[in-house]
Amino acid sequence: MKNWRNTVKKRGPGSEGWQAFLLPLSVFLLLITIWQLFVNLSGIEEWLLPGPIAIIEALWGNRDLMWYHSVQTLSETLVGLAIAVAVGVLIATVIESSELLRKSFYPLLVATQTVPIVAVAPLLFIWLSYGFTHKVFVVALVCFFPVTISLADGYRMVDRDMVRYMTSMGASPVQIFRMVKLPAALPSFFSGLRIAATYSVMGAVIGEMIGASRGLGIFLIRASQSYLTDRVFAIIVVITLLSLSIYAFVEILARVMMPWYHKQKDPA
Amino acid sequence: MIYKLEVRHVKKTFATRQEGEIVTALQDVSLSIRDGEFVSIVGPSGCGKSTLLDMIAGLSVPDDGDILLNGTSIVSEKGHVSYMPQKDSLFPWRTILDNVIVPLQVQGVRKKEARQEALALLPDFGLEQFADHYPFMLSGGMRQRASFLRTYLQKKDVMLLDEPFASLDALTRMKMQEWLMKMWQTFQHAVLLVTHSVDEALLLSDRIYVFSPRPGRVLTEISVDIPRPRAARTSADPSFTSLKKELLHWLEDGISHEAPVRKKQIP
Ligand SMILES: Nc1ncnc2c1ncn2[C@@H]1O[C@H](COP(=O)(O)OP(=O)(O)OP(=O)(O)O)[C@@H](O)[C@H]1O
Ligand SMILES: [Mg+2]
Repeated sequence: MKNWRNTVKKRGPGSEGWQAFLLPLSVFLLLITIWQLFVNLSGIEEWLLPGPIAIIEALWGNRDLMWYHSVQTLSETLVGLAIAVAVGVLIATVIESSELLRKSFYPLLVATQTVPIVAVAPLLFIWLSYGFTHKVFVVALVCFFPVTISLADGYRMVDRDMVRYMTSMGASPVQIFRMVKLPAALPSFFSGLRIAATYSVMGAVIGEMIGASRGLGIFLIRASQSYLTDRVFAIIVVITLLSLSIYAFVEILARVMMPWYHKQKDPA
Repeated sequence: MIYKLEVRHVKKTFATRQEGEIVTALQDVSLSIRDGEFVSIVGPSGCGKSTLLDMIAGLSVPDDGDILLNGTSIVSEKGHVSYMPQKDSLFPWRTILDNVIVPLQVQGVRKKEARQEALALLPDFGLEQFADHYPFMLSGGMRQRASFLRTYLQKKDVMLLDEPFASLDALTRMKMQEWLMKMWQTFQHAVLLVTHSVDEALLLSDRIYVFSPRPGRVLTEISVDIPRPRAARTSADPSFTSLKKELLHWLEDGISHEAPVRKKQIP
């Protein structure tokens, strides 16, 4: 009695899965090789453009420093992101509970999103102490808007018929929220969280660039001021890896919390 | 006598968005259902059938008239009847098993106990292989069964079913009708079924109310005295054909008064 869609969807990790992974990897390796060849053949100065091998050497040679600064940046990022999610969920949920609140606050939320964070960061440096807090605050600020707005939008996307169905059974507003609105909002919430995840490391790095004694941002500034270009590239690699791992973490979380959504989306 | 469910002179209007124009969806509708009786409503699209069921379920309030359950008014009260709305709204984030226990959870039953109770019922509804499936993995017929089980687990002795089989193909539909008949004979609920299909109404019902086009009124009430158990073969029965003729006559007559009404799914 099984539906045909069931059988078609059970394809397993076939040739397509490998292609999706191998193709971009080959292109990446090809580009790296071209880069290295260009550096070798053109004889370009190392401080102007180091080759991939020099960058890897800088990465490995400075691994203790890299680790030291990464730990700082990563902890700022995670604390900031956690604060943004907590406050964002709270505010989006409160706004959703009343039409009046929603109408008053939602447009402002959307509008404030357009303020460039780089411009606000120095202000935070003045207001908050020189140390951990202002960087956490920058992270929280950049992550707050995508999280809040996507969750607020998600609550709106709930199917009205489902809410009516719950109402007809005599469900309480709390039950309707927990059983319908919250799960219905999750996909939208997670797309906001993905954006926040990619912003978060950037927020911490910008915060550190403006004032810090430890962290990848200040490490980057110092390296560039000394024209240690191979080190600058190495730090960029580390920052990218940090961003990627936070993104991957969010992606895994999304799959754990919404198995239904991903099963439906990608026939794996 | 006291009916299980009684609708008395109910009227409902809607104010539309454009220039406060008022649409009369239902105009003075009265009907009644005895305990354990299977009653259908047939009528053209837009004649207010869903509106009526919404009011019985307490989702909206009639402008005029009364709705009684066991002789007491239930106007604007929710949770007295089991309601299966026109649109299948299974939750995509829950498996079939977890979908059908929603009404139990709403009543405060713990998830574990609710699951146990529902699991025991899955075979009766032909869903035992699908407990862990998500709704999108199921065929339309299986989804309807799950919706129906979910409605059944609201555990009220009156069931309102709004076009439960409209989205199914002819063969699945026939199977589901026979299945519903079997279910009803086992559980003996009072059922109020809304349908566009004259055959479906004749096959399943004890009595049929025929509604006029909007504004909805009861044109006539027809008793279906075809002996049970009935089957799809019953439609060849001479009494079936004559009742069908009578029903179609009423429907066509009702429609011909107002020419531009859409003729939807009336065979
Ligand atoms: N909330 C509403 N606001 C305005 N008009 C409404 C509303 N609900 C229903 N109507 C109107 O009332 C009439 C009856 O609607 P209803 O959904 O009850 O019809 P129906 O008989 O169930 O039709 P169908 O067979 O297509 O499901 C329709 O003309 C519809 O446009
Ligand atoms: Mg309807």
